[in-house]
Amino acid sequence: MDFSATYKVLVLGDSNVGKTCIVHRYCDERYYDTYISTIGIDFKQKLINLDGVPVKLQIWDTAGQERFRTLTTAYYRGAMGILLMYDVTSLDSFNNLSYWLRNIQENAAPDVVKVLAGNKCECTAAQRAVDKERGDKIAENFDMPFFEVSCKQNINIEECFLTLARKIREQREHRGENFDEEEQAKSGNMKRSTSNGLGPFTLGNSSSEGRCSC
Amino acid sequence: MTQISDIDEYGFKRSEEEKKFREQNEEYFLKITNSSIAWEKFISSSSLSIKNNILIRSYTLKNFIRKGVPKHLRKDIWLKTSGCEKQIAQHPNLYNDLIRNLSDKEINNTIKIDIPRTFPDNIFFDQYKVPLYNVLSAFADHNPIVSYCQGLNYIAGLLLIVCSGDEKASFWLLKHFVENIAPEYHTKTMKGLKRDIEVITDLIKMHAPSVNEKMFELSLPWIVIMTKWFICFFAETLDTETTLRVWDIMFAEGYKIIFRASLAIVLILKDDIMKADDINDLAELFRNIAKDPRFLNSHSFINFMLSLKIKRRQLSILRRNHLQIDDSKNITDEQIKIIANKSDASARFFFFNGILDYFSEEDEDESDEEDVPTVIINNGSIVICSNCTVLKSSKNIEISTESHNTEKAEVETSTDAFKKGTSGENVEK
Repeated sequence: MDFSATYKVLVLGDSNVGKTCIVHRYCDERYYDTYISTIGIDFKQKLINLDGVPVKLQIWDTAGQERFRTLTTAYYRGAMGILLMYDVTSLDSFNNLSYWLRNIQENAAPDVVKVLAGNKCECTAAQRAVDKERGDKIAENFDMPFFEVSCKQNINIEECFLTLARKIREQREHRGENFDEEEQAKSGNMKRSTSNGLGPFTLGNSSSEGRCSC
Repeated sequence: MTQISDIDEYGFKRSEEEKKFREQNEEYFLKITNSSIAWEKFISSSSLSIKNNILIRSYTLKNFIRKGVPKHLRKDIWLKTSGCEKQIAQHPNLYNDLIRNLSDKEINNTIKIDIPRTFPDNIFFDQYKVPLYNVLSAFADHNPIVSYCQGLNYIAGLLLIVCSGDEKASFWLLKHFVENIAPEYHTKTMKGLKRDIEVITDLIKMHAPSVNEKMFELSLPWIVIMTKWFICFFAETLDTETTLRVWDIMFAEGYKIIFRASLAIVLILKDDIMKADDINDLAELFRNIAKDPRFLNSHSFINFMLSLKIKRRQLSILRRNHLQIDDSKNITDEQIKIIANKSDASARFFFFNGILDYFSEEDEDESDEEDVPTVIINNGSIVICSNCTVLKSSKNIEISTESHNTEKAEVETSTDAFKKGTSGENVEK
């Protein structure tokens, strides 16, 4: 099959919200009870059928710890879509969304497509620390589709990624540019924006600002 | 055919690939057994109690280490060859004091999150969870510049397994890894890591330019693949046995092994990399290193790795070329030139805040470099010393809890004038 399009997607969010888990669940259709912490950046790919059109979804799974941001910001610019995640059982991970949103604003393309996912929604009422309404509200404010998802019980995982892919497609159609032209423009921008001309092999600069809470 | 257990001797689950490999390579165990017998003989015949720095200069020991340290001797040998034993003797209460006064800090939450995410499949690891928390939390207090970096959990976890839960030994070995072997890899800026990935990229360009071009063509920068290798010293990348074999040598010979092992992996995978159609093929290839017979065969991997000669001089020049702008702005080209000329173009720059692994290393491949003076830029002061010198000033050995940048670095231009520094550090020649 010939894949006319490759969509680059970045998964972001605090440590332990389930970034690797959702990527595994979606790409390998598997779930493990235990996961190991991601060091640096990992990568998976899934070939999807987006309403009859084959699309290659390239998913970049990042480490949650802030210091690894110095390595991953280089990938923000090439990302067409971002899956931003929090853990509904961790208020901290929700409060840190503002840090992540600012980070995206500073490093990603201005028109990058975002989807918000609140993971571990299979939890009990006692475990839950963030109500769905709060997720809805922040999603509305930042114009992101929002899903509560469960990697464990495979709830809304497919929907999440398909929504992201559809939004990416819509945006590309909206801009009326074809993939190749855009890619060229993008790599042109990359080169211009990096003073040492090392192109895609250039490392990202560390973002100097700290975290804040909502 | 030997029946291979599902679990290896360290408690890790064997992959199907590993089981198959071990079943077909019984001679591997034979070699391990033979090596164990040889070690026993060696230990009883030699004086392992000899002072550390003399011990490490024995070719016999070096060769023994390169052939692999038996499991039950690893802790002792590592402590000796790394110089940790000596450090522990000088600071016998450091670890206990840290544990007694563990601070309640935010990073502890990050550590806590990572405890159950460290070797969840290892059947022995439950008993090491509290020790792991202790070691990581103590280290975070001890070295606030690094504090806790994800990945240290794998290193400390594996150290605890090898040291059978000895927290103090694991702490000191972890400290040695992070502060001496891989300075500024795990700090918030990860400056050392980024620099050394540029350096290994240069080395790959020299040894296998086509591989580098291929990676470039498929837009997969080495940093994506190698961050984990460098941050975890190949734990979670290579299989356990091969990782520990690399560590045997790393503790005895120092940082250069990180480059040699990385280069060895890339060169072994060269043909597969060249055949890859896309970035996904590459990611899969690198993900499966631990299951690949070419790496499971520790002996052949180590032999290949040791056949790759990389000169310290070369590394130091490459490292200097990749100095971060922040660092180099404080040292003028003129000053670098002077230093380089003074020491026959082989001045070595190390931007970190600990003592060099260099002192515990001897490299027979590089006898031409034996008497080259070393330049250390340490906490804003510069110290020069020759190969066999051990710095007396504890100031140079202790990790500084203050700013460790090199902004205040002053470079002296003559070996005689190394008094200045910021506080007149001792200099031995």
